[in-house]
Amino acid sequence: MAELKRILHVDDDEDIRVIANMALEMVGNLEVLQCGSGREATEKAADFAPDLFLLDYMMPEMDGEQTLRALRNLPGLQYVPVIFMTARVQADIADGLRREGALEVITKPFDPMELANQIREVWSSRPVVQLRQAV
Amino acid sequence: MMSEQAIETTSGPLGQKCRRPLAVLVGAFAAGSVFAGLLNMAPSSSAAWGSTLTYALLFGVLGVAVYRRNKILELQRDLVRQQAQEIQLTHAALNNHALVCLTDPDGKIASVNENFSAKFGYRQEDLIGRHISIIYPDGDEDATMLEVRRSLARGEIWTGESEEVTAEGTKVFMRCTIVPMLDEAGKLVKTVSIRTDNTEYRRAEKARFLKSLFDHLQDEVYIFRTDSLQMVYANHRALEASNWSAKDIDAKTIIDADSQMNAAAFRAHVAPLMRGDRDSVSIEVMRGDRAGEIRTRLVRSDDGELLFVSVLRDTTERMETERARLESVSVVSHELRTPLTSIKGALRLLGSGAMGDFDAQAKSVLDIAERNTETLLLIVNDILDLEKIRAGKMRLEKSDVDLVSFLNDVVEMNTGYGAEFQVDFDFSTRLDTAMARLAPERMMQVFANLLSNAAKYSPTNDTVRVGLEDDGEYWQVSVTDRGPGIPESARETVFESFGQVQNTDGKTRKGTGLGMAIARKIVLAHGGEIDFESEPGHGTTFYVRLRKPHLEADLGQGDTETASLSDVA
Repeated sequence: MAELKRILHVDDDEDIRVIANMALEMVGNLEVLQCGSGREATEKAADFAPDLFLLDYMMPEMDGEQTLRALRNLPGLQYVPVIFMTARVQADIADGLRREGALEVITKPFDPMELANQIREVWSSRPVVQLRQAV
Repeated sequence: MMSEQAIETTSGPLGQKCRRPLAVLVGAFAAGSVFAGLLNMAPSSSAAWGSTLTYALLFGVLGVAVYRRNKILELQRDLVRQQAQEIQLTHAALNNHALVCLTDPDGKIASVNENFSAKFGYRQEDLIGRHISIIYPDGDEDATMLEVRRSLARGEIWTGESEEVTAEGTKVFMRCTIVPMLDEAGKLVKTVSIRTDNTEYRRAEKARFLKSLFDHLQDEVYIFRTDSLQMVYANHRALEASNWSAKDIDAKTIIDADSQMNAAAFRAHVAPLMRGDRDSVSIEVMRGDRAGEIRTRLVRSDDGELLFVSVLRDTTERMETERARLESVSVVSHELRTPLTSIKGALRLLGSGAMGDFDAQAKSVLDIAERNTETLLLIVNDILDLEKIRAGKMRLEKSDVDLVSFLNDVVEMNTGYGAEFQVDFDFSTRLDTAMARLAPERMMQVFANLLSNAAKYSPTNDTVRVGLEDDGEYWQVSVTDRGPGIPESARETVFESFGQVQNTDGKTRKGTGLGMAIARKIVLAHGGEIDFESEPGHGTTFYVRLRKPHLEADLGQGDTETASLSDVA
């Protein structure tokens, strides 16, 4: 199983991007590309070639799901797994996202000291075959 | 006392006896003529005839006078006899109707009639010689009695109502007229008192007053028997809401008032009242699109019968206010979560040392910031939970759980929290297993709340006791602390949103004010009950009662079963 190295993180809140960046790069030793909107992400994602999308669910203009669809349409990114982050803890929304192939739905506020571990854990236990079928 | 005598019947109207003087006059006249004739032998001259006539007249008049006098005496005797009879009758009527008592000038009872002794529950002979204060509630210091005695000493008649007491201690209300009898020097020699029992009237008047009061209430009031659940009374609103007429009330039971109620469920609901464990029980109900709360109490009627009183209060408006408040607060809460994520994350990064080390003082300031961010987040989460429950978006994923091991887990998971307050949790039960059907995560939330509350309010180094008992149709979990207690006046607000109780010991305690509201809604959504008993100054016990599953029907219906909480929000 491939090691998790590169994460594309999309969140409209700048402060959260700063915290997440520290959590993933400094604490977690991951390579991170951060974007403030779905539009920005679709412009930069292909060049970055991430192993995983980490998407905020609630964003203006393009929300998390719309961003995911746009990203998956890009060449080479069709099978990139996704983790959503949300401040809204609604079981039905989380279930819906999982059904659409999300590896996990992480609720905010997250613990920056644990975020990278949490993501790695989900990454390593992901059902690769099933995911491809689902997508 | 008075003797019972047969009443003589009079021989006819008085008038009949007065029509006879003419006959007497004629008779006397004739007798006079005969007498005069005997003296003169043969009245041959007109002078002789004249004197004969004079004698005859004289005799006649004399006879009439004697007759009249006798008659008058006879009439007077009749009158006296009649008056005596009337007095006897009046006395008999009074004796039958009223309570009569004669006392000496010192207030010692000289005689009483049978009504008096029977009403006050003594034997007649036991009352004679006793002081009249025996029938007054405050004995020889009774204010009414002293007022009566002062009035009698002045020679005045006392009239009024007086509260008195029987040998058994039952209060009675008497209308009294107490008359003093004075000697020529104006000194009190005797008193005569006449009492009529006014207790029933007072009671009926009170009942009428209460009835009219109840009929003006917007709440539905039902009063019914404990054994048959048969209605005794329903106020105007209750009749209207249940579509009953006052006439057929006797044929109704409380079960007829609520389509969702059945006798067994009702019996289980009121069981704590019957056991004397609680003063009142309440349940939330829906009536069409209106929400209501029924609170039931036990009362004893004046004649000693045990009755249930149920009051249904419309809570739609209260619910609506709560809903609006929650909704607006939850909107704000959502907005708060994003900045909180940054604050919490930043503090966590600083506090973890990932950004370099701080000295002790800076670290302690950082701890304060972290702790309070945590509290703020708890509040926000609670608000969102409540709103979720209200909007029917919280799911109960039920499974079969053994409460014994579940409560062991509860205690273990909350040990750390208790330690913050230097409080231990101790769970003990006689049961080996207690299977229930519940949503473990949600029920964990309920008990975490109860335990953390108990810890918060406990004295330091104390133990909070958790118990589990088999209570018929229910498993009853108890959480007992020895804290300052909850005053009865706060009973209504404990389970309301933001309903933190005014502390009785003056200490302030951190909390969101929502935990109990959430706990209650979760328990209700499980078809359970939550309540508490408290003795201010000595501690509080919270009870959670969870219905046992009916083995064949409820247990093992698959691993999970999802239910919505919307019906209790």
